[in-house]
Amino acid sequence: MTPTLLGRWQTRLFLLGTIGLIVTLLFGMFIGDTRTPLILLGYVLGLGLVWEMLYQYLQSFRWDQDWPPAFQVGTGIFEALVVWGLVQTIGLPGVDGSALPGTTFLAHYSAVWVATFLVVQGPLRIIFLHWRYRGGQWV
Amino acid sequence: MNSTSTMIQVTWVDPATEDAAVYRGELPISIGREPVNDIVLKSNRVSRTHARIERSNGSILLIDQQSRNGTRVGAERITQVVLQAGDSFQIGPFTFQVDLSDAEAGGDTGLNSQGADAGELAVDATLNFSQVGDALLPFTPPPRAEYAFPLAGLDQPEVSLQELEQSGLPISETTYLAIGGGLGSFVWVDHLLIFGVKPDQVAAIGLEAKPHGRYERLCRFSQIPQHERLRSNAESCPDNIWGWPGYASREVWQALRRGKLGDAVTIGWQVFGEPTLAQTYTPQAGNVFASIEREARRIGWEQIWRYGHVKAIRKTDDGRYVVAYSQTSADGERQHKLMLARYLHIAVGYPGVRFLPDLQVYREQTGDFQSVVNAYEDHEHVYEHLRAHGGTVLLRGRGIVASRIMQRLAEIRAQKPNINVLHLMRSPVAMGHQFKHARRTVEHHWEFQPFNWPKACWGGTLRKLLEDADDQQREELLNDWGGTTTARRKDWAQIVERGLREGWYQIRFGAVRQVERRQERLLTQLHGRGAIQDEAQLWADFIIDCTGLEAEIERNTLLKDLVERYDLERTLKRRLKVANDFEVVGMRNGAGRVYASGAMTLGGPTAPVDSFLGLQYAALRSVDALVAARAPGVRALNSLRSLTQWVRWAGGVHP
Repeated sequence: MTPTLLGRWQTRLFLLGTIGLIVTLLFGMFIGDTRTPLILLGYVLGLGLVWEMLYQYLQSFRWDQDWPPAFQVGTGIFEALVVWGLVQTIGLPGVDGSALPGTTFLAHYSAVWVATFLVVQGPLRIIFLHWRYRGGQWV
Repeated sequence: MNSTSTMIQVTWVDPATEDAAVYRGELPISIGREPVNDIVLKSNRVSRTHARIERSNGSILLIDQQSRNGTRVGAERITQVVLQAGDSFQIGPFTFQVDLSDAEAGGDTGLNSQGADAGELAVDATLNFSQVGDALLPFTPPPRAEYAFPLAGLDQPEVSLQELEQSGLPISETTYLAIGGGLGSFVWVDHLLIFGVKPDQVAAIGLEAKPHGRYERLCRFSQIPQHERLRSNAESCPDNIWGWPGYASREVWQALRRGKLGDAVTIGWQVFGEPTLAQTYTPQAGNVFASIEREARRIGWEQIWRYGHVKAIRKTDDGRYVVAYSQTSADGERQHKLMLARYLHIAVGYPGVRFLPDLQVYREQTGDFQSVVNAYEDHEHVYEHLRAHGGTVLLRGRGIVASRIMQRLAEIRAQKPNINVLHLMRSPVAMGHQFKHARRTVEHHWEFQPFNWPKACWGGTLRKLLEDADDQQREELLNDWGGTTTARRKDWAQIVERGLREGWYQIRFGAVRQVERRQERLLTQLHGRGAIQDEAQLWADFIIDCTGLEAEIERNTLLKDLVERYDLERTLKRRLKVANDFEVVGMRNGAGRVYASGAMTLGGPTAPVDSFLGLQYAALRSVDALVAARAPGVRALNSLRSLTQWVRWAGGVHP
């Protein structure tokens, strides 16, 4: 991918607001608690908007100004560690760290991440023809 | 060097077009971005007043004017250096050669002619593509009078329908007409049909039935046979407007079906990690051509395309265009026809191959077209000779084509060890181009980049930057991103390493004074350096010119006529100027519109004009504009229609 900053923000907002939301709700129904996964999704989204600025800055050092899938995986792991670390150390409002098993967090985060990653790698282009030419921007 | 001389000649190459430029003038000379300089360089890496060349105590000095990004000799940043004939220095993306001898011999007035042929050689250094049988081949046509279409009314910028009817020529009508018939036309027609236009409203005129015919031939000549890989991205699919599934996914799928798990993993890893962790994936030429043929069958290209050589385009008095074309039958009889259309798309590709002036002089003087060849000509005989007898090949130019030929030579050398490769480059490349914080890598004087422009030029930050820029800024950006590069492939890099180590591949630098035939071999004499003009000599059995294709408007009679007749605007790269939606604005005629894409539009809203994805981008933008203009039959491709159309594509059903 060769995203622009607006493209990064819009794509993240769109993906987490659609596929991320659906996967989270399904996951919540499965574990019998939709509230915590939804709040966590919100944190991943909110922090992510900040991370994207950092990624965009790092990307500008690359000659091709691109962001390969491998980097998306790397940043995905990094963001998971940060959110999990914050929950377990200083704590994030709305999430009870002691009541959140690591495996549950990992399962939820991975499910959302894999779903959105796969959609970005292809199917999104089928319904949004211009998306790939605009660095991930719609408007 | 003559110590009383005050004349100097410097030559350089336009980073984006590779057109040679020369400046010859009296010292001192100033170099910088501002128009007041003697040599004006458009680049963000060049300061307003960047450097000066002046005479001091019998020497010629190059002095950096405290520029922000520096003046370099090799990798070294200099403040002041003595210049001698044959020296080279670098300012931003430009590399200069100093040539004092020519300046003394011929120079009189200052000349700043970016785009002009370098040196003293007043020779036509381009071979136009000409029709030979059913194929277009690089070929020097015998000089002949300008061909005139037998219709008087076409001399006027606007012709009336009445005049056309009176001509007695066969006239057909359509709504959308693609001129060129190559890949640019094909992807435009593909978009139109997917956007809802009925096939009977669309026509394409060109010389070859296969949309990829000419491209495929140029690939073959330049040593990319069917099984080799093109320098193109997985998602640049001329057969699929969505770019998904890309060629990599399809190849993974095929490998899995054949049970080749290892291949599937390799390709998957490539697209996952490229270009940082793995070498960039590129599709096999044969797979790409097969996919284009499949899409051509799906959209009914055979019914849309018709054979013809387009001679002229004129506005009509009813807000349309008349396209005059000729058809030559097998027995050489030529028939003239006219076609009327409301919307035109012009994508005629490169009109010819470019020859280095000294090589063209050699060919014209000796008539020897066998030992001095262009990489884009059919030159299989060179490899056959080498396979049988061995020999030395001199390569000129260092782009992707040079690297492919190098690879082919290495393959033959594996069987026939007495093959040597001399690589003549104009100047050393110590540092790659730079843009803001980013820099291109260099190894053994080859500059690396996966594709021919930075990847974000297709759909990222750089595409946006260029689109929003004005003409001057576009010129600067293109120069900063341009330059001759090749993709870093492991197998190929190993060939270069081994060749250099074993001594059968050697790189030389210098400017050519003359190429001649002596003792049944080719002798290339280089200009000397400094006070010692010993004229280095390079002996070879063959010379292969890998400097590329020519895209000057003047080379294409149709475009030349159009630009002159309608006084169309040009970009600073001297190509055809198009709006951000690829419309040739000066051709607007009532509701009628003309769009253009491809090599002719360099300097406009997009950089990778001649790439698959660049052509698709241009097609999409122009079809979007047609939707906005409420052109007949075109409908916006909303998500649902896009999905439906994709399903039809996947099922091989007509759009």
